[in-house]
Amino acid sequence: MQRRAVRLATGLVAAVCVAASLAACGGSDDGSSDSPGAPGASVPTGTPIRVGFFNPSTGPLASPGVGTGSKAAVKYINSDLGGVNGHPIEVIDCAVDGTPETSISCANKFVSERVVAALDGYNLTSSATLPILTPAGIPLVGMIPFDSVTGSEATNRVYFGAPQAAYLIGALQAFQQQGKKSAVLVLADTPSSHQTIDMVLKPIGAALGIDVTGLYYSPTNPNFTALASSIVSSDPDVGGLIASPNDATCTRLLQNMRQLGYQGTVLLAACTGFIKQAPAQAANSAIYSSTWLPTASTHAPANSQEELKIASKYIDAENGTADYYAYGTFSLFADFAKGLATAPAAELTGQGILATLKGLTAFPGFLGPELTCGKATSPNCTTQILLFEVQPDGTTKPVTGTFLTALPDILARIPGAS
Amino acid sequence: MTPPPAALEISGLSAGYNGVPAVRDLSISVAQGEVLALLGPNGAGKTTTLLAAVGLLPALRGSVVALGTPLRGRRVERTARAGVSLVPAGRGVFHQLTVAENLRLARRRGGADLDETLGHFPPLRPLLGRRCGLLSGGEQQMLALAKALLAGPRVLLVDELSLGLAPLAVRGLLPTIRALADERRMAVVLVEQHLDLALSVADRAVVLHHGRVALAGRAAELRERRDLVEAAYFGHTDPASPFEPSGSAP
Amino acid sequence: MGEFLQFVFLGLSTGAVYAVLASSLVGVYAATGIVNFAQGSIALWAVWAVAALRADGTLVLPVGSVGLGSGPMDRVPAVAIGVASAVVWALLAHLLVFRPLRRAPVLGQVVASVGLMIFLQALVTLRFDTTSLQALPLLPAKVLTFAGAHVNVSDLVLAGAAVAVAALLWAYFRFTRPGIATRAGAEDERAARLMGLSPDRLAAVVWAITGGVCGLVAVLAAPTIGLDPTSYTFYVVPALAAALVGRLASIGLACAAGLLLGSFQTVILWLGTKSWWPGWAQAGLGDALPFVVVIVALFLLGGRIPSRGEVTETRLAAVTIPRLRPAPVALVLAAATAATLLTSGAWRFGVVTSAILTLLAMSLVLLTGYLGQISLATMAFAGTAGFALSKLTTSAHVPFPFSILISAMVATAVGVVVGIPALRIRGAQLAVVTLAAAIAVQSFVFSNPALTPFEGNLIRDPSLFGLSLAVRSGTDLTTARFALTVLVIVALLTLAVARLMAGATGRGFLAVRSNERAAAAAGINVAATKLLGFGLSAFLAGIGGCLIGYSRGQLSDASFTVLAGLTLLAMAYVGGITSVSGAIIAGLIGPLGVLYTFLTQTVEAGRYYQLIAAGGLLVTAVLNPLGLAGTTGHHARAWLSRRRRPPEAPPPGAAAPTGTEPAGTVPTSPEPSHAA
Repeated sequence: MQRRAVRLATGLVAAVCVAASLAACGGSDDGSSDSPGAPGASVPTGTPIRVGFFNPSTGPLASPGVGTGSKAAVKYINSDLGGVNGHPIEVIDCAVDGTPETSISCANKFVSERVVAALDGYNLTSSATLPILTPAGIPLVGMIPFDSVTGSEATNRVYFGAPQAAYLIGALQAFQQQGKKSAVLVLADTPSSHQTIDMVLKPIGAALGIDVTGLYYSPTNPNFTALASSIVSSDPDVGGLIASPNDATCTRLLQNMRQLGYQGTVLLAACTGFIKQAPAQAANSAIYSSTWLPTASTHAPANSQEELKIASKYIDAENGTADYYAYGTFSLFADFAKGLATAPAAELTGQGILATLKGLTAFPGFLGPELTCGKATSPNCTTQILLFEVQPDGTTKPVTGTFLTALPDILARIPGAS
Repeated sequence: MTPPPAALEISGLSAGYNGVPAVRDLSISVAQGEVLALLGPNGAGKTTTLLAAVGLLPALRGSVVALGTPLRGRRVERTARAGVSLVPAGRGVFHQLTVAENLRLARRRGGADLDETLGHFPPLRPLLGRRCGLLSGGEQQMLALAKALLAGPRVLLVDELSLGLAPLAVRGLLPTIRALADERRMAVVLVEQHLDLALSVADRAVVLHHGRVALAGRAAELRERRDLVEAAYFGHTDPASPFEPSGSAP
Repeated sequence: MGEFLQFVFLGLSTGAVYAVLASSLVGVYAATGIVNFAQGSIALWAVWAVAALRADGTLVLPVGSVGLGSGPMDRVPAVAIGVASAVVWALLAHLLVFRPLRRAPVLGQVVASVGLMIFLQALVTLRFDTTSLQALPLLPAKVLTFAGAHVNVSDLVLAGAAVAVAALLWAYFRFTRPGIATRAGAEDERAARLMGLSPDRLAAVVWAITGGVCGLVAVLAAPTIGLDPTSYTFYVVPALAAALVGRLASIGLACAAGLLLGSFQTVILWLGTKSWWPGWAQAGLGDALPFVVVIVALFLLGGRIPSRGEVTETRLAAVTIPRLRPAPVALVLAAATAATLLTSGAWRFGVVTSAILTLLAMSLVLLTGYLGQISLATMAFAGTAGFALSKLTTSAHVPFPFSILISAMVATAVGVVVGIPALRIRGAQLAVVTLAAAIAVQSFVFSNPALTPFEGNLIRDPSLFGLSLAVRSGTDLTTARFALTVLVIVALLTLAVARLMAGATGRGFLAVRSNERAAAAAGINVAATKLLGFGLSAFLAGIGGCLIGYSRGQLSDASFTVLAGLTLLAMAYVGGITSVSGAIIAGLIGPLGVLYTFLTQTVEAGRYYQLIAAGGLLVTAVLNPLGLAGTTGHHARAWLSRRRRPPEAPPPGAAAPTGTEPAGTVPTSPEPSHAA
């Protein structure tokens, strides 16, 4: 009986391994590049520029839009733009789930694959990658540093969007001007959130004279009814989410808050889905963003409208998630490619790329503001954000009509923000 | 006219524990309506025989056939449902359940009538709502028998009915078994330490010693020859005895 | 007051899930004597199945999927199919896993139950689109006002459903014939069979009913609680706590305790938002609560938990006393060194991780294999040491060998504390305690932002006499120096433990494992032995945790998850939990080790790892309780002995039912009830 049992067991295990390997071979590829598929301009023929990409596609705080944006952007770059001066971009996609372990393992992978740059797809634990990337000479390039530790220094990193603090400052300064005095804002309970609330939100609130409270919700079991109750119970002037990995979270929270009879302003991070999903409750709500979004195209300047059309074309063709993260990531890749293209004879090594990007001055950001990188104390290339108010017609209009600059003296209190 | 098939036919049975047989090459048959007393000292293999007959112990060799249906290799539940009931030495009543619940579990389609069965054990009637753990030994034994009988068995095996009971109580139960055996044409095997009681109600008796039949014969005759029975208990079988050492004597 | 009530009612949604899981746990225990750790995972599958059906009408199966209709399915048929899927999984669990294990030792039953738990969880992660599926609303969204509190009608419905389920189960066991028969079988299985009752069939009925009701209530609660691939699996821990409050016998108490626990957790969440609530208690206190409940319940009520009457006594798996012969030891060491030096990059990292896992598996072999204490808290010990190491190296700058030693001593202290309940609690209940402890430590300590600095739990690279032993150097992701340091540490500890186990301590452990009373009668101090076992095991795990820390450079709550610990237990069992060579095999096949690296790098099937591990565990637990090492060793010895002398004819009648016994077995034989 035992011998047969052992054979059976070994056979089963072997069969499972074989089946798994067959499935894996036949199934998804989580490796290399997208071939430049879209018909259009020149097909780039130079040696590919290999970049690693931290893609937050798994885990409880996964952002599916990031992957959509990256795929769309690579197609755009390799076809419409003809690559970077004729060199196509090849992306090594690596899934992270918000934990340092996966970030470290992806960083290790990029080092052994000898990429020339690593792109940060809103990774919550990007700081874990720097001890690995920096000695290997690989720069970290992103839009907004979601890990405050990453955002606190400028070494070996470039971020095309404003620092996290700028969004909070910009939003709160606008609310303060509207006469609002209290705010309760929530974040998923992660170590970086605690840093954001303790080191960024509280000082900003103190400086602006707004009574601001930060709350946390469990990433794995968010009880939105309980969360909404917590927010609404003190009846603040502003309530809402500082950041949300997907649109569904915003919509659920908004619906729950309104159901409890909350009448104040709801800040919903960078979500746009709730406008269609919960139109009745969308009035008196605000969102912020690093880039122009399709919901604001009627209020955007002409060149931004053109860029929105291009981005939407590629993003919609992916049939994925077309939220802020898709557009933000698209812009990240576009800025990266266009920025590199400014120096035609640039060395396409890690250090060369870093130098080129840091050298960008008054560079027109894709769907974004003017970028000037290379600051000594901050990795960010701008401190400007867009704060939108949801209009009755379902569009989102910038509160100041255009980009909003975060108050510099308050920004100066946050390390790495300016 | 051929004799009716034996209710229980055990042939060449060897059974034991961890591969060591406690019963060797045993052949016993019990007719319908017959009461067989299975006797012998401790360790003779009496309980082993009963356990092997119902399937609680795997048989190493031999066969067990009840009313024409072979039982060996079957699971205990199936044997029980096929009409072979064992009242084990531990009585097998459920202490956490009430008397009524115990009886309810025992009832089966095609079994005996509850009222009629309770009629054989009148002391149980007022105790229907009581938890069995609170009953006396005699009452529990009555319940065990009632449960076994409710299933309407064709073969009833009883292990150590008198264990832990006052003789008076036993004296009340055994005649009931005798009467039911006659009434329902039920074959009964009684494993007993109490010689006189067993021989008083049995038709035939078999004495086991070290797992083999040491003595067999009609109960009435064995009652006269106590000396032979005692000798068999000690393992001395007299070749000159009128009683067959094999179990297949009529 | 109104707010307090509001949160009490809000907690009824999770409370209802706890309550129905707890009632089911009591029912399954009554029917089978098994503590089913997989009860939450069964509900997990149902929840996701309904989400997929309501998204686009796809019925997702373990292999493949079937499109039912062209669009999203309506709520009633979707819920019906979801509940049916839970029933099917429950019945499969009974038929394929738990019925074959009726006679197995408790360790086998617990391990199989845990294996099923992580198998289903891994399957859900692989089969469902966990990033985009949503639990669409099912219950009406009305809100009532009651005593100043906003109360959701859905929460009331859920609580009502949980109470109805408990009443249904109670009535089943109390009034119906099959229910009474199940209770009878739990008390005395043999007597039940003698009456023609079939405990297996009765158990199947209970499995089906409990699977169905757990699926139903979880599906109804999912829109409120949220959809996630892990949490429902671990809801079994608060459910176990509630079931233990009911002494694993009272369904009503278990249900009430579950509802109360859910409310309590939500109230704690609410209190955490208050400014006067202490910062260190803001995160994870609710998750630590079940552990407290478990301990209190077991200490107060432990003696009154009914145990099952068995037909035959169970036979413990054979233990191999390690014999250290120079040739095999040198061979293994040489192979390990060669593997380290000849590989590089990710492969060398895999080899190093395998060595560390060997150490963690040794800790399990010691505690569970030799001492017989079922502990699911290995990763908690490892993590405690890892986090202590972080504090020691960054804040106190303690140098290399001392940092590891002190951290491991911290883990040892924790191990001894966890071992104290083991003095009074054993078997599956001890497994529950250790699991609850592991979750409490993970939520309340590892995930607690008050204990974690903002930069993360960094660990300074080790160095010895000025020589850097860091794991990374430039583009070299795993330096040879670090790898060899790890090998040396692991080898020394393994040899030391093997020596220990071959001596008097080992014999004491085995004696306690076989029969505590007999051991005490023989003069062994059982309490001291148990605490020693827990302490040693925690020490080994602690060293392992420190090495993990050094190998990564940074730790987080994801470094030592309960799920990883259970996967490691699975692999330790597959490798062979009763021998040192089993620990080595476990290291090779463990998470992030050599096999994992092979699956990820060469075959790109890394995401199937947990599924393979859990599947291997189930197969091993059901078919072959000795594990790979034990069986290989057994066959090797049999082959060697056959070569030495010709086979003899077995003595007549001495058929051995379960194979030969290597050194150290304590066979038990069933005794007839009365000598006849």
